[in-house]
Amino acid sequence: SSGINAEYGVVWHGLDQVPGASDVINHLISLNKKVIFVTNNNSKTRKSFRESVQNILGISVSNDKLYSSGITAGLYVKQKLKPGEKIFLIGTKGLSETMDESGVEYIGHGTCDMDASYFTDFLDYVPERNVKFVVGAFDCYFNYAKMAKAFIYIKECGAEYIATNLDLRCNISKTRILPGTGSVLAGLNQSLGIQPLVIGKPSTIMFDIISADHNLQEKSKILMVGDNLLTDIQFGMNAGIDTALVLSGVTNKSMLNEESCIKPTYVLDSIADIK
Amino acid sequence: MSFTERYSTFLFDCDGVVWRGNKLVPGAADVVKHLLSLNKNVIFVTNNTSKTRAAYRETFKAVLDITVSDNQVYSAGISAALYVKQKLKPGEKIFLIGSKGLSETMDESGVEYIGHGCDMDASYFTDFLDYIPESNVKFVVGAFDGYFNYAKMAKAFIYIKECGAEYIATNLDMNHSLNDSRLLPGTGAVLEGLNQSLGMQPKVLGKPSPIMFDMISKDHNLEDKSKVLMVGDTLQSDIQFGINSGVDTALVLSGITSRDVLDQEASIKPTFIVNSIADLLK
Repeated sequence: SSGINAEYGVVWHGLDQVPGASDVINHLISLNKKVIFVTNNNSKTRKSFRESVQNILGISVSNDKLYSSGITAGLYVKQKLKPGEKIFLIGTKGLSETMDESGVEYIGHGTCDMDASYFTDFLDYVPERNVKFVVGAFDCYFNYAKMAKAFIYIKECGAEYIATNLDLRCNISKTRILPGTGSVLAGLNQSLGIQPLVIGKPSTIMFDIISADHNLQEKSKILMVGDNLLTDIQFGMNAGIDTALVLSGVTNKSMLNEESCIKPTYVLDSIADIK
Repeated sequence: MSFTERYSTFLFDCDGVVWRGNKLVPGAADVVKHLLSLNKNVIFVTNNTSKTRAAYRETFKAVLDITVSDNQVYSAGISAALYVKQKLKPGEKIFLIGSKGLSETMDESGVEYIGHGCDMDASYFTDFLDYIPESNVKFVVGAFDGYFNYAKMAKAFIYIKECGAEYIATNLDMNHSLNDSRLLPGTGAVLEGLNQSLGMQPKVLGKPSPIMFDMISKDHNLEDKSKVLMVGDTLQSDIQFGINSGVDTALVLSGITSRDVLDQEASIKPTFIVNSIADLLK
């Protein structure tokens, strides 16, 4: 009775919907199925995500149907922060807006932190009080000053460390690979000697939160639909629910055949095959 | 046999051996002057990348009241400049990740570089979709850089992965200890994301890699390694450097390593353990 759809490559490609996507989703909604969107993308607020769904699919969804690793990071910390407590935020402008949307107070965010040019600039650095979390996500302006402060909040102040995802690389195009979010945070992780709690798929944190928000009691009635074996299908497997791999996105048949450990329950050409 | 009888070349780490922060280690100036008066080879070997050779000459004059020649000071930054200078053809350049002092060191050595400074070019991955790398960039040199951010990491990645630039680094120390009171991420942490995304490690010039020893050996025609003593305060860089270079080592307890740490670290064994550089005259 609940379908969890990943975003890119399943429901839309860039600015166009995958053919048949809005028909399928409208049909599921008309059958009173729960349709929830779950993506690792963390640049959108719930408001802007709603707008994308409206513009691309012509469908109106409520906030509680929209989960991204950024949105969920905001929900996760919001649940645990007491009044007056805040987070140290490493992330894009979109992520900071997501935190604003969730009413989470943050410090540390922004363009290049020019506070420090050398180790010794941190000799007398006094961390702020009440910083309970360090939230790590893709941040183009993450430099040494931010890394040192995040390190101090975690190591000296005991802040809990969470991250949206740790993908080491990002395929920007067919011909170019680039370092990913995991590479932005790798130095912080190695120097701390710890890994953050990861919010994004395939970690099940998003499933736990969705489950609680929507009171999902019967796992056997949930289907996770995605195009990425390592994130979407693994997520479904980790969460103990059935999965459907669509071949309309990053995964093609030969990649599927090469992959021996991650096995989707179903393989479909696209979301349009969900009947 | 005393140290002065046994060894003709003394390699000294600076921080924690000769000085500690802004203060001279007691007796350091006397020891260095005495060794020089005995015609010993005195060479300073440091992983620091913030000073040019000219700046070191001034520092030694001001702090120890000695005149050092250029080939008596080897820092990881200076060695990186010499290393690439040897290999660059006219018109070729490097992509430089490092401090202002390191860029000045490159200037001092006549090495042409791009990429240095605070790069605000990009705010998201997609900004690199159409990025066209410059031609003739033959090396990426990585060192501590307070302003190393994603734009620099992506460009360095592209120069190495797409253009085949050789990747070297001054050191990869994962942590830096500030005066024993605060632990911070080190140069290794700055470069770690680049290394992990590339799936490779750079060639490291700083201690404990023996590359600086090879350079020193060649420049000073050191034929008999048994007459060389490396003196330092850090097991993982100084003492390991000596071990990797095949020379005797003396650990001083005037710097970062205390007796407790020494007892805990069983695998890196110095030849000698002394309280400070002053003990070398005993």
